[in-house]
Amino acid sequence: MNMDATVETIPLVSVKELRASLGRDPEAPEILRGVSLDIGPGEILGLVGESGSGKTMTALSMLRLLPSAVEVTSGAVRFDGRDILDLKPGEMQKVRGGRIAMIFQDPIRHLNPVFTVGEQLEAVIRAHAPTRLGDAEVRRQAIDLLDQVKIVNPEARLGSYPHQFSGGMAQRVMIALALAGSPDLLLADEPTSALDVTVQAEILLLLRRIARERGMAILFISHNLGAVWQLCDRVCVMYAGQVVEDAPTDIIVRRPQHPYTRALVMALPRLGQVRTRLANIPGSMPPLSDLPGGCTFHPRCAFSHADCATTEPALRPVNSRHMARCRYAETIPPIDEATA
Amino acid sequence: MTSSEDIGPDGTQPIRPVLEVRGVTKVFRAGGSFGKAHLVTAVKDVSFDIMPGEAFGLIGESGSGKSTLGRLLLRLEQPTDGQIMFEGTDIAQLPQVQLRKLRAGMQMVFQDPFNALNPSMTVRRALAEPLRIQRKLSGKALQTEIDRLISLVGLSPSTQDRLPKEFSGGQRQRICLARALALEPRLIVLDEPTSALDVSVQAQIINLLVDLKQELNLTYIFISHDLSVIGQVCDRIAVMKRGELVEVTSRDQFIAEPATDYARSLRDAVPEIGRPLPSSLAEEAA
Repeated sequence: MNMDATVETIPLVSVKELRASLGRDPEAPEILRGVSLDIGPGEILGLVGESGSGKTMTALSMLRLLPSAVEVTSGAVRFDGRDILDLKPGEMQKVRGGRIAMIFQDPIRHLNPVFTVGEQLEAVIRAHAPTRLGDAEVRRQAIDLLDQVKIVNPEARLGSYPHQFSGGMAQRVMIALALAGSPDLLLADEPTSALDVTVQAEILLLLRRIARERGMAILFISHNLGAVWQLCDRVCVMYAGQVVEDAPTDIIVRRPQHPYTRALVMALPRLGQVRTRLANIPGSMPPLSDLPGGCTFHPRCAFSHADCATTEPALRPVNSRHMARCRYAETIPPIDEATA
Repeated sequence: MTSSEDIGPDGTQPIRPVLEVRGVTKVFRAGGSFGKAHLVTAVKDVSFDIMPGEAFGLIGESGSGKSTLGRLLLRLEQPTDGQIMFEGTDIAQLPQVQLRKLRAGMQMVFQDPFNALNPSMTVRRALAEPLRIQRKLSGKALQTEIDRLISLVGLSPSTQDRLPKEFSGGQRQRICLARALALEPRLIVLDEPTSALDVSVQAQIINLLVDLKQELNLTYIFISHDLSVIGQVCDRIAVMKRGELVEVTSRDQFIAEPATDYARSLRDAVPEIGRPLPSSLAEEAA
């Protein structure tokens, strides 16, 4: 929970009012409904929300890798002073892997099964090298990357194929591949969700060390608030295609000011705090094709007022470095640890 | 199945375990089509008792054999060796015909509610089938029972003419629960029942499971890799590793101080708010 990394600086990436729909049809459902978030240099930002809330689509927009059916209708993704959405294909190619890299939930599926790990690493190192490198140098860098992700005996492991690695080891290989271009930002989409708990903890430790050592920022996408609390400096919570709250991690879990965040924290089973009942959020997230009017969360909200059904709230500052998309954010009680 | 042990010291009948598991072992034959066939021991010499009304958690990492053990306990797989006494009858080697009579008493709920329901059957039909065949209900009594089951799991009666695809994941898991409850089981094996669900829906299903257990005096075997969920539901926790049971302990003991290093490493690795990453963990992996 290093707060130093989040002092007020010019953000590395700034997503501004990003809107995207499923198809060109004006009637098509909107999957991103004005997403705004910043990631500072070297910052580890958690992106939390339930399935379909738009977490992965937000990350993919930063690499301009949204599925072809998804149409960006307005907004900007500012990176290094330019809008990613305006870059030419050649410029975009330099950003991908070189400035912004991505890792996924299922590493084995994202590694090529017919090439050795060494061949894949070397190809990526060559692609990102500013000058032509000799074979020995490429090999040296590949060994160094495997060493950085703490793979034992990296020299011998270069000759292994992806299927010869366990899930946790394959995730380390994918992280090594992502690091090959020395990115400023790593997009990590549920990178530990398929792993056993002990391996998950190892990967979280690894990510944190690498981010701190290299000054690399991470966008950590997860549905697991526990893992997010352990890793991230700050958290953005998404609901139905929007960021509904944005605050430092400790604030998000103790004094959330959006009712959805509060309910999410209180619905979490915790070994350290077994309760007779978990707090319930009634119902489930509405389909994006059929969203309620006003605040999209109001039908499930324990604190909703009459005008929540008619007036759409804006994401607004409620405290220093704390934003919430709720008209009544100031009245939301903090989580009482005794009863939570 | 009667012995002198069944009489308590004061002459009363002591409570019998619902399930007595003794030396259960399962060996699978693996490979064969390309490489050499070899034997894999998925479950090795496992023994424990489960008392009526208990919620027994079974945890372990992937490949530990916890799901195989769950399937063995209901005889969805036949054990290679050992005894499984369900309410006093050894079902480990029981022929299918006799097994069928006992099956109603034990049910299973799976992780993926999307695959566990027949997509072409309405909720009403899915629930009516076991009621008609096993409990011989028909006409008004059948409909009354369907209504009761649906409200028991918190669904509205108006939903019963819908198909599974019209429901969300959480609602489908409620339908699966209603179907499991249709035969009035005493024992339910729940295999990762909330792992496919989002946090807010997971909380609803966990609360429902806790309520149903209380209301219907059920016994649960709850299999999960998620220790926070297990801790919320279960009174006793069994830890599996490579097919063997390494520790069986109370929930409180597990949280406070597990007896084995392995159980402790699992507990310490649980990602939770307020529990920093274990600093003792070796970052390195071989």
